Amino acid sequence: MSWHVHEDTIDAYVGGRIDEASAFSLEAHLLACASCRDAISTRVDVGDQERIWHGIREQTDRPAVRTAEWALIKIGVPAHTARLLVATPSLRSSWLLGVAGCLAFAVIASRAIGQARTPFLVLAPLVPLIGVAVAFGRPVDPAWEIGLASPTGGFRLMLLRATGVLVTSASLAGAAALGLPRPGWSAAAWLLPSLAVTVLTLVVSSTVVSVTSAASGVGIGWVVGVTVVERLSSAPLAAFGPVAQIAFAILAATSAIVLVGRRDAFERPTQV
Amino acid sequence: MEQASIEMTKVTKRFGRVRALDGVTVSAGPGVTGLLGPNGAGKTTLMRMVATVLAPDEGIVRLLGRDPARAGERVEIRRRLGYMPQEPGLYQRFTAFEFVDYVAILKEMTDRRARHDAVRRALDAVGLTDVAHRKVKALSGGMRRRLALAQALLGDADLLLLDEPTAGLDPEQRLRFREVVSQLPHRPAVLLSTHQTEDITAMCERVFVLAGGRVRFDGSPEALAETARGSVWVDQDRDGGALLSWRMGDGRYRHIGDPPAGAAMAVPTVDDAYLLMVGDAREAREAAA
Repeated sequence: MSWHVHEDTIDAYVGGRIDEASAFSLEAHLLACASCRDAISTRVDVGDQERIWHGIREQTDRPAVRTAEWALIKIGVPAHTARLLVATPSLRSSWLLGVAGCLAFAVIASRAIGQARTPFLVLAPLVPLIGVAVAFGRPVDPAWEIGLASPTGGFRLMLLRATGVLVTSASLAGAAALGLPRPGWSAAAWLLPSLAVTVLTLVVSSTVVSVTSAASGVGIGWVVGVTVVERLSSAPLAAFGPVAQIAFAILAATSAIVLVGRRDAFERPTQV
Repeated sequence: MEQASIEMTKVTKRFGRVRALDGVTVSAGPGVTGLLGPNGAGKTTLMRMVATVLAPDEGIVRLLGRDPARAGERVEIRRRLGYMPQEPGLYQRFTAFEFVDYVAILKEMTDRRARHDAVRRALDAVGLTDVAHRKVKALSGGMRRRLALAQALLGDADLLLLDEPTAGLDPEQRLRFREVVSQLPHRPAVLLSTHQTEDITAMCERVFVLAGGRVRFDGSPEALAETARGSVWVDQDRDGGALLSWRMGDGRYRHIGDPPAGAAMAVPTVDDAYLLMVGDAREAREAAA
């Protein structure tokens, strides 16, 4: 290299008092001139250098924000909580798309067979139920044991993920319900049953039964129960009427109280 | 006297009819304590109990002076705990950085910049900085093992539990692992479960030998080796009466067991003592059966 940057220019560059075109020219020269790089490095404040490098590392290391995570952050969920939620299999975009497809199918079936909303009302509570079944626990969460040994693990993480699944599923089901024929009060009659069967599943999973087995049992019980009530009753949608809604509310509240009382079972299971 | 970080008194744990731990009483303070034992000895059960993820059927457990059976105290223990399970599951679709970041969030590190600094330090400690942005599924087995170690090192834990950390690591990685553990700041209590007697000799101040759910030895590695004094000998030929024997590089045979009269006794190692102890335990178990 036959020429070197003048010291005044280096001082101006380091001090941020140089115009953009001159800065570009100087930086192009620095790429090929070790002598000028050395000269400039002795003038740059080490603290500034560290801050710049730290900023660059932050930009390059920042984990990619996935679609579901981005949506959660947009509705006000703290970024770190959103990250914990998107590790949940049942909150991934592919799962949510599948759920949306199933609900759309139920709406179409309700319209096609002229059964008003029964297929939809039976299916909607199963959505969060299945979602919760694949939201936590050893079979679906590879890092389950690491999570369990953390201060957020166990009951708190389970509750966070179950709530995330319930809210997301309910939002999708709510949107799908708008497509039902003659939407009225009964278009929302799935909401309390959803809450009740989901919390009941969590309670059952706190025993020796796995969460997937608990969800299967409660899900089958739900379908059989609704079918029997609808067959035996002369009134339409008896399984979703006012009396049934009160029963579901009581079941949900009771299950929630029992769940809190059994929190230790999620923290230190009898078998790992 | 330093307070014991791990205290277990007459702890028993059953799985069905099997007693994984049978009246175990141990205590360990700061420094590296080794946990040695054959498969099925109860090592992982003991580790999980110290990791607060498994409750004993009987007995008392105190960790860092707190009772893990109480919810509030358990969270306090977990805040000061680093745990690398025997089979650490990792999220395959996360990058190495994202996975350690995820565990850092679980450890309540909510400030993003401070958390990312901690993640970088942990990845750097295990030599994974260059692959920090590679997906977990693209990492080699040894790299995944080191990634699991990195998440355990987050947050300068006071109680660090490492279950088979050197399994699957090549010799260079094992040496690097020893370096990492020996350079941990503020001398935490490290419980290291392993099959590798070399790791015990090289790193541990103290060792528990577990066999059949019971503690067979509790002391220094040197004291463990001493238990085999008078039971190790070498000869030109194989001795059929020995409990164990193998041909060495120089062609002679090293024997463990009851030596014959006039045998050339050898200086025992931790390996010899462990094999003798575990062999005895196996014989006793077989005799009982």
